[in-house]
Amino acid sequence: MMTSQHNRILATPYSAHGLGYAVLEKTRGLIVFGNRRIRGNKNAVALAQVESWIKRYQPDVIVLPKVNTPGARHSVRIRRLHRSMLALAKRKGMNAVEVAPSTLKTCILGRPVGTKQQLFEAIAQRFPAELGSRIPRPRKLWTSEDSRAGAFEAIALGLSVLESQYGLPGELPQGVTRDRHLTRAVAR
Amino acid sequence: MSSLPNYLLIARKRLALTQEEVAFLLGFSGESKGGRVSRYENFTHEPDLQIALGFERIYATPAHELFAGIREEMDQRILARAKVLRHRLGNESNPGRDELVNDLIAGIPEL
Repeated sequence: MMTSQHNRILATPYSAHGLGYAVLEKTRGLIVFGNRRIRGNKNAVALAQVESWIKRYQPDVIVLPKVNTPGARHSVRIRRLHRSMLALAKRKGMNAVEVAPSTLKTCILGRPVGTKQQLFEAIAQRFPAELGSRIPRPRKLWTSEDSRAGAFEAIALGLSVLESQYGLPGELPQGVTRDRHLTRAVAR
Repeated sequence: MSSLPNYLLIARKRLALTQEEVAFLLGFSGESKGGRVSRYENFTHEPDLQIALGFERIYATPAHELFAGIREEMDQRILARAKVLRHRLGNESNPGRDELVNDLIAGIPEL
């Protein structure tokens, strides 16, 4: 999946409302994170936004969620956006890494299954100063996703790639081993 | 990979401060005082010395770490100028100055 060492990573997961984003560095860990709500022509605005992040933060890899996993139920718009993102990365001469949800959970939680809430709490444990007070509220059946979820997902994506290469940053939850290959990160 | 011009945003988020609060501590006034902090964080403006030292005090982080990219850029400029200076000095000898110029060319020491 990965052929080179990545020093600065831009992770951008998609959502129905916009984009989460996080920038992580090998040496400094978490640098920037947030959520950008997008209205209007969502895909065009999202692409322009990602392009401006690339210009500002100059990452050497962009991390995206894998949308074509078996059983994935992403909308046509999201799939189209994903293809455009891959094309954008190619145009900018950057590596693009796609991380499947099960791989992400294995890396962060130590098992391939788990809820998003568990993922958010595990991420907040690793960066208590930055994220401890920002954990998204648990979602009810009748509520839409918390706006902060995008940022947490972005951090999880970036962290999974960074950690697979450097074992950095933050502390792993109990029972999770570090491994240089995401697919082999397994629970003890 | 070079460092980003500054790491003000994450330093602020670690302390759970808002841009408005940082702006207040730095003595900014007006309706868009938080926006001024935002412009520094997004690299659209560079703070002057007083403000940079203010950030250092508030975030309790050395300015050369907060503004790592600017520091690296300055190191490169000094290195280039030190080479020019050594060339200009030619055979003029001054042990203290020569040692400094040679040290700068060999590598700027870490603070």
